Amino acid sequence: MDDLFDSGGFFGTPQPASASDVKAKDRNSVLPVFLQEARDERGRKRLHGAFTGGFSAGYFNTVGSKEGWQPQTFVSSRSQRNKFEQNVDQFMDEEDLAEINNAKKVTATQDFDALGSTQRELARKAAVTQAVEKSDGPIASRILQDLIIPSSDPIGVRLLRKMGWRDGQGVGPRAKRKFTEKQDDEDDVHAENVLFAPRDIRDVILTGRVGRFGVGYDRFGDGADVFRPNASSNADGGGSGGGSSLFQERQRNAFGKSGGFGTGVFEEEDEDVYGGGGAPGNLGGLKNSRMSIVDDDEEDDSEWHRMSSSKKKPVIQQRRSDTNSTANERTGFDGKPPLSGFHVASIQLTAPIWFDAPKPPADYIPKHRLAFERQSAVSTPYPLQPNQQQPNLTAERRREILGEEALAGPTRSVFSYMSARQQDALQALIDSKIAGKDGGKKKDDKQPIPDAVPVDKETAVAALKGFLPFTGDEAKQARYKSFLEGKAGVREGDVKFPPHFTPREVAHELLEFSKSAHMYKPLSGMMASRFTSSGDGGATKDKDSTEPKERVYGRATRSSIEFRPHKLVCKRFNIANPYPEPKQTGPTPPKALTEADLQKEILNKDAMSELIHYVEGGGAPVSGPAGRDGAAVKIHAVVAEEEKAVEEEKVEPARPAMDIFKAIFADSDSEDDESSEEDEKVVEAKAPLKVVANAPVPVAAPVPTVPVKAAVVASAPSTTSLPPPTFRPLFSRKQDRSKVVEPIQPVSAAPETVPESVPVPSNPDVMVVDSPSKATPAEPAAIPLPNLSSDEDDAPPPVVTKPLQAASWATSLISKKPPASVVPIKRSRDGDESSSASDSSDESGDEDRRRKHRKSSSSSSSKKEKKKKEGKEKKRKKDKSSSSKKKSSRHREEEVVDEWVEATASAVVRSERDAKDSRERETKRDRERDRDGERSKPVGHHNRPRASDFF
Amino acid sequence: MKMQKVMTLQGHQGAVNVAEFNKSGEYVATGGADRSVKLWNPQSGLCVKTYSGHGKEVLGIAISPDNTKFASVGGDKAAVLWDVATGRSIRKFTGHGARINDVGFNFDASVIVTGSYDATVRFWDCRAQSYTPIQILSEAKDSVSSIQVTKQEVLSASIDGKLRVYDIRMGMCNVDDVGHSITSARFSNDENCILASTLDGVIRLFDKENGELLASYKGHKNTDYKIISTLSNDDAYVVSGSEDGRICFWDLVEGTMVNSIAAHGTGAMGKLVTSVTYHPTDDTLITTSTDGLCHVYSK
Repeated sequence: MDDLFDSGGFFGTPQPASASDVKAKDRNSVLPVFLQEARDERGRKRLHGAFTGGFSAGYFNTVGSKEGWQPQTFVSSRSQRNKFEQNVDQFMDEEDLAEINNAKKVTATQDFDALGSTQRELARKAAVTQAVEKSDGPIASRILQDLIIPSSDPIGVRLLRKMGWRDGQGVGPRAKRKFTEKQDDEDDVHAENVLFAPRDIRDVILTGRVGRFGVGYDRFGDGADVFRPNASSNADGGGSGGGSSLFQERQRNAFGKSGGFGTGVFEEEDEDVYGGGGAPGNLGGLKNSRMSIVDDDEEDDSEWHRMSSSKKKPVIQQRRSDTNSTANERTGFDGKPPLSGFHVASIQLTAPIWFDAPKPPADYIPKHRLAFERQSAVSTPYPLQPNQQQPNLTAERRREILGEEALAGPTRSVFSYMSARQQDALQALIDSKIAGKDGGKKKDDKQPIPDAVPVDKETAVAALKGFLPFTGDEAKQARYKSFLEGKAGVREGDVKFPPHFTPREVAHELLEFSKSAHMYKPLSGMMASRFTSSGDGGATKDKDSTEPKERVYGRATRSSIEFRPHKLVCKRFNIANPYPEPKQTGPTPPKALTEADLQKEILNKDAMSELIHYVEGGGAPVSGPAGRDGAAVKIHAVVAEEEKAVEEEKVEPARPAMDIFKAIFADSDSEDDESSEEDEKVVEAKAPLKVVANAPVPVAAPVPTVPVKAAVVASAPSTTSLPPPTFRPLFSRKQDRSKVVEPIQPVSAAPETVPESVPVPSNPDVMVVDSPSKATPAEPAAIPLPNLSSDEDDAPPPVVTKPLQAASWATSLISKKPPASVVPIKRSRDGDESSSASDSSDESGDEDRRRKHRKSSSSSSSKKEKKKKEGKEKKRKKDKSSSSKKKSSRHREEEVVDEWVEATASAVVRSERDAKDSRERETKRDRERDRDGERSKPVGHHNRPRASDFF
Repeated sequence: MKMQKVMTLQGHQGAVNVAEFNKSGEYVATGGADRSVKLWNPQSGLCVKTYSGHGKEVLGIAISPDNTKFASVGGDKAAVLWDVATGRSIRKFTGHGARINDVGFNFDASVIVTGSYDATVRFWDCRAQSYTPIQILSEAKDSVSSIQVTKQEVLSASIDGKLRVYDIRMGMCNVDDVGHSITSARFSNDENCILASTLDGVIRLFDKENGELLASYKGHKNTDYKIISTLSNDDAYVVSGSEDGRICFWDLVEGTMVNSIAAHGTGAMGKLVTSVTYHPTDDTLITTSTDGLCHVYSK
């Protein structure tokens, strides 16, 4: 054999003489395929039996022993406990165990494999960008790249993203970026003021060096780079010269995620597994495994260089790649070429040369002076000394120079308690001392303090009281204190510095002291006067109050000031107001009537009663015989009351005019009315008997503004059909509006649309009649009226909306829905009621409106109505036939009762009874009156225009 | 002026700040730092009821003339009107900017007058629905420490050292400059004099008419805290607590201390006696202290 080998070349595989010479496990390698047997790595036969395709379940595959899994008796006694335990691994052979051991290896999951997956991600990104740069469709590719986001980013990337990091950026604060000439110049122009995220630079992972090689030793010398990964994969650990983990990473990158060759099914295909393939002769994947910290934009041209140079260690390369090419030829300062992996710096750093500051001439004054100033400088009271610091003047110093007086803030200094003369003397003494000391100091250390801020006495005194810095160094603090004391003149003598202090140190410390003195001086002047320390309480608080011993109480300490108690306070204390309102002082003195007075005059008592009288006597239809006189009386009373109230409230003169307007235009539920009504109701509820006696007329709640209404009506020039000229331009007359509406005659009468489209009175008439029992009996009677009146030629505007309202209400009742199309109509309830006595048709219309309003606005009243619907239909009918006043009054009364419930329980019972009584009484009254109203309903009587007609 | 301790009212947690007899003198209401007002029967020493609802300590109590309601004020800046029988708060008036030191009712309990640390006196209407004060007196330059309301006058004492008597009938306010921070001021029972305790340790009796000093009473210790002093119901004696735990009696006319009882300890161990309240008819008084106890002294 040997000579055969020695003799020269040979072909083929040397074969053993017989297969039995070869070890069993290697036997397959020398046998032809058809003779090969399935054996495990130890050479044991895997297949046995007649059918060698069968799996051996017998001896060879038993549980590791010859006996295998042998059945045995279970024996356990008290003395000898059987500790027989079975584990899973007892049933495994070594192949299974190896598998398990492999599975037991702790590896980071993809989520937390921060380095690995980030690395992978970066590699992928780099590959993609490179691909994009090469292809000509960058945007589309980028978009695609952005769109296809890997489903599982590592947790670190996700966290970073949440913190605002974006892919491709480095981590860190945004900064300005310097651009090299290499980059696009148009970008530079716009990017001047733009902050850029830091570049995405990979971390350098430094691993401990375990070999005994020197720095820069290349284990592989001049060998090809090809061997490096293989060498590192030997996993011999030692001597790899660092970066073994990097090599592993590199390998992993090169071979994909699965650690095998090629691209797996589940791997992204666009991943540049083979490192872009741009470099022929290079092993794939190495391109992505650059370890040097370089900028992305340099990678193209520096690629080859790096490949040829040592890649052993992470190397911070020079920025410019062209210098790199020449770097190897340079030698270091010792004449030797640099170690491999290092480059000689292209820019030589020279140690900066420090020059001493130029010394100014001795007579230099750090301030420019004009010629005339130079001349007059001699005569200035404060000639500047060469070494004196000019600009740092404190306010006190400036004040001193200007000769101003000190601000009168509370001086905190003990010296302020001395007399002026003493202070002067002390000041003189201090000045002389300081002057002497300063002179002495200058002689002592020639070194001038560079920027020492002069500390004047006040500052020093103030600083002494303030915070003392240098708490860490007690000796220094003591020096500082003595420095301040010296400056303040409290203590004589110089600051004693330790002997080892150089003059410069001394100067520095003095500078420090002076600065601290200025910094830590407490508030002074204006600021200080705003605060007072908590310590001195009564002493300084009352400067006018003298010592208690001297104080003589009596006239000197007594002073009287005017005290104007609020009128409500007077009322509650049951005391007449000591400062009564001027109007209440007595009979008003005669004075010239102003315009305001004249306006008010409209509403005075006499005028009012006159007007009422006029209204009543002037043929205004009155509802019934019972109501007439009583109403008049009531009205008078209320007018008087209201008059008083108006006076009490000191209403502005313009108010009456507003009242008139309100009476005409305002919503009937305006707050003023209600409140006044409520007040009256309270009175009534408290004394129901009185009400009954005084007012047989329906509840007088809305009365207060009745006279106003009456006044307006009466003050109209005559009983013409025209409205007062003031109001005409504002509103279109109802006639006009009805004319506009009339042409639209809908055929279908859907419940929702009917209300709007029923201007013809006959229609609603029918409808109301047809409507089930829910329509009140009063309404049908009310509806024909406008039809009649509209026929009249000169007559007031026909009340077209009223049938409309009635109809809509009726339909709403039918459909059991609130009419959606009904626009709430603003109208004074008082106005209605003033006319209600005479006109029941109006009243019914008003009632509809009001009911609707109530329905929509107050849920409580609607609830009540519901209750009524359910329970007492009879009573409900009765109620509906009666005037709405009763309802509103009842509602109000219930409110009153509610209030009382809060107050006292006993009062509740009483008030409820009262309220019920009065309610019943009112109901009765209303019914009577309604009957009367219906009876005496004058058809063509309402010639006079009413404000309500204009709506 | 010999008095014996007949009862101790124990139940407050922490300091008791104020005590107030009802108008008939059968019960006494005390307010303490435990944010509650307790109603006691001073004869039996039983706590009849506890009214809790204040957010901070109770500093002042006023009982309505018909004994059905009382008002209490305290550190929570609120004046609370209580129903005595049910123990519920009827109304709560808030609006003061700082703690309220004292409270008073007018003659028919329709107005509550409060004096606060925010240097204002406010009138609250118990009848109206509004919760805003009907009048604010802001003459005081410092905390209003004491309020007393009579039929027509409001006496307010302030830490700024001024006694102010607001006369509603006259529409005038008489200001007496005492010169020391006044912590407590009370009219005499005939309403002709004003007894004012100041933080210089002197109690002074002033003539209401002209502000003259009638007498001054010394011998107790009062330099830091509010101590509510009082006159006996026959105006014969001035009674005040002391910061060293004593209660001191002075003859009104002579100005001499006739008695001093170590009610809540003496000397260094003494606890501040925050108030002394005299029974409206009997010779009984209640002392309250920061030790959480109220003692009932009687002849």
